[in-house]
Amino acid sequence: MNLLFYVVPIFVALILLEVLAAKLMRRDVYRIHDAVTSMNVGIMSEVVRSTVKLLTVVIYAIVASKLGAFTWDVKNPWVWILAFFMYDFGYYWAHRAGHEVSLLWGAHVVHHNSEEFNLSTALRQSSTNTIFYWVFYAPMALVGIPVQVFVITAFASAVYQFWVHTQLIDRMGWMEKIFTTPSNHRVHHGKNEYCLDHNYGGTLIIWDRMFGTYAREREDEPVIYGTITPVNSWNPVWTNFVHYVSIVRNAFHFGGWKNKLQSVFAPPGWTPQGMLPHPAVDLRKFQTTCGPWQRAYCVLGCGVVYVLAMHWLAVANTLSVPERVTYGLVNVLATLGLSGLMSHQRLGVPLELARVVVVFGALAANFWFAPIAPAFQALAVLCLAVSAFLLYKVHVEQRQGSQSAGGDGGEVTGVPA
Amino acid sequence: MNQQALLDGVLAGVALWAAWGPGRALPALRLGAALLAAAAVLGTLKFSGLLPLPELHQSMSMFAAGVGLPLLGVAMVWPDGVVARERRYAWIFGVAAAVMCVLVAVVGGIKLWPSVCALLAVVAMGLASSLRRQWWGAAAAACMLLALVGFAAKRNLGPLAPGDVLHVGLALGLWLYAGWVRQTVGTGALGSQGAPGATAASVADRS
Repeated sequence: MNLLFYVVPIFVALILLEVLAAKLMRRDVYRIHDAVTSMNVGIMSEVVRSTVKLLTVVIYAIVASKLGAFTWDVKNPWVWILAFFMYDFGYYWAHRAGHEVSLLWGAHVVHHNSEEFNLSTALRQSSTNTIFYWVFYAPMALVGIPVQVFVITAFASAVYQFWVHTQLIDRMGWMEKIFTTPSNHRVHHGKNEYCLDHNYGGTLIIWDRMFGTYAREREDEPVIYGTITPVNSWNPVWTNFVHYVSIVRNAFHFGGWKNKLQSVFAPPGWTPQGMLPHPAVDLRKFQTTCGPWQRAYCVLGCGVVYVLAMHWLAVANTLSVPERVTYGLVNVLATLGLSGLMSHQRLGVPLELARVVVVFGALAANFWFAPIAPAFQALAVLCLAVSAFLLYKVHVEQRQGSQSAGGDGGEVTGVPA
Repeated sequence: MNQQALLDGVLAGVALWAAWGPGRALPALRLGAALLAAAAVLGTLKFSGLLPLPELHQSMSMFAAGVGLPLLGVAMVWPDGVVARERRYAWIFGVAAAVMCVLVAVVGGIKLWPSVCALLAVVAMGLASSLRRQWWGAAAAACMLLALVGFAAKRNLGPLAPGDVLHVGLALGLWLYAGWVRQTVGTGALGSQGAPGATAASVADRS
C-alpha cells in the first residue's frame, strides 16, 4: 500500500491545526481558493505520480541490481546514513536543476505558484517532476543502495519537508545552520530578488552553504510568495502545464534551432538577447470573489475529493490498470469541477452539479470501483442532497454578485498582499 | 603492477591532465576527460588488485563511452557551442546522455549503445576536424577510432591485449586532443568570438 495513505491524514490534521493556530494568532495565512487549489494539485499529482513513481522505482531497482557496486545489508545502520546523505545531496541538485533549467522548472513551478505559504502549499506538488528527478538519485543505485532503503529515505525526506511550509514558526537558532527550517524555506518560496534561486536543501541546508545558494530571511524585507510570472488560475491541470506551454511558445518564437533548443535547457527567463530583467515585485494576489455559500461548498467538495483520493490510494493495488486510471481521472475531474466553480466559469455550477449527481449516485448505488459499505452509501445520498442545495445557493450567490457588479460574476481582482 | 593496470594508469594520468589542464578552456572536455579518468582509475585499482570494484569499473566504463566520448565529440564538432563552452550545458548534455545510457543499455538491455555512441562521436570528430584541416584533431580521432575498433575486434596487437589497445589508443588520442585544444584556442580557430567564457547570451546572439 502507498505509504502516503498513512501520513496524508496526519498532514490534513496538521493543516486544520495550522488554520486554527493562525486564527488564534491573528495571522492571515490561508485563503480558501488557494488552499483548495493546493489540495487539488496534490491529489492530481498523486494520481499521476503513483504510476510514474512506480516506473522510476523499477528503473532504480534494475540499475541497482545490474550496476550496483556493493551489496548492502539493510540492517547495517551505515547504509541508512549513507543513503540519507546521498539522497539529500541528490535532492539538492534535483531541486536546483528544477529552478535553473527551464524544462525542469516546468515540472516544479506548480509548487511555487501559490501566493500563500502554509502547510497546504507542501501538498501542492507537481505531477510531472518524478519523470525527471529519479536521474539525480541514480548514483545511489550505482553504489548499490537497496531499493527499499531508497524508497524509505525518499519518503522520510518528503515527510520532513512538509512541516517547513509554515509562517507560524519563527527562526530556530542553531538549526538554521544545519537543517532546512520554515525560515529558510520561506526565503526559497519568495519572489523578492534576494530570495530567487536560494535555499534548495531538502532536509539539510548545508548544501546551500557549501555551493553558495544560501540566503538568510530578512527582517526588514517581508517575503512575497509566488512566482515572478503568476499563473492566475485555480485550475490544477493548467498550473501543471503552464510553463511547458510557454516553453513551446518560446521555441516557436525564437529563430534558429540553437535558440529553440536552448530555450528548453536555459534558465527560465532566458531569451536570445539575454536574461529578462527581474521586474518589481507585484504585491497583488490573484483572487476571485468568494461568497459564504461558495466557501461552504469548497470545504465540502474538497473534503469529498480528499476522501475519494484516500479511497483510491487504499484500493489502487486491487484494481486493474484501466480501473485505476479511470478512478484517478474521476478524482482529477472532481478537482477541475471545484476549480471551475471557484473561477466563476459560466457552466461551472451546472457541470459541477452533473458531476456530483453521477459520482454520489454511483456511490449510493454501490456501482463503484470497489465495494462501498452501506453507511457510506447513505452518506453519499446525504452528500448529494447537501451538494445540490449548496450548488443552488452558489448559483444564486453568483447571479446576485454578477448583477450587482454588472458583469458575469467571473471577474478577477488583484488584492493587496 | 601488471601491464593492464599500468596502461590503465597511464590513461588515468593523461585523462586527469586533460581535464585539469586543457579542459579549462572547454568544460565539455573537462567533464568528458574526468569520466574517462574515473573509469581508468577504477580500472587501475581493479587490474592491480588493490581495490577490485568490477561493477563500478564496468558502469564507469559505460558512462565514459556513452557520455565521456560524446562530450569530447561535441566539443570538437561545435567548439564554440554552449555545450562545449559552458559548464551548465556540458552538465545538462552529460546528464541527458547518461540517462539515455541507463534507459537504453541497462533497462532496455541494448548493451551496444555506449559503444555506438562512442564510435559515432569519434567518427564525427574525425570528419569535422578533417574538413577544417585541424590535423591534431584528426589524429586524435584516428587514434581513438583505432582504439575502439581494436578493442571491439578483440585482437592482440603484439604484446598488447585488446584492453591495452583501448587504453593506449585513448591515452594517445586524449594527448592529441589536448594538442588540438592548444592549437585552436591559441590561434583563435575555434571561431571569431569563441573565446573561453563566452556567455549563453553572446553565443546565442551569434546564431
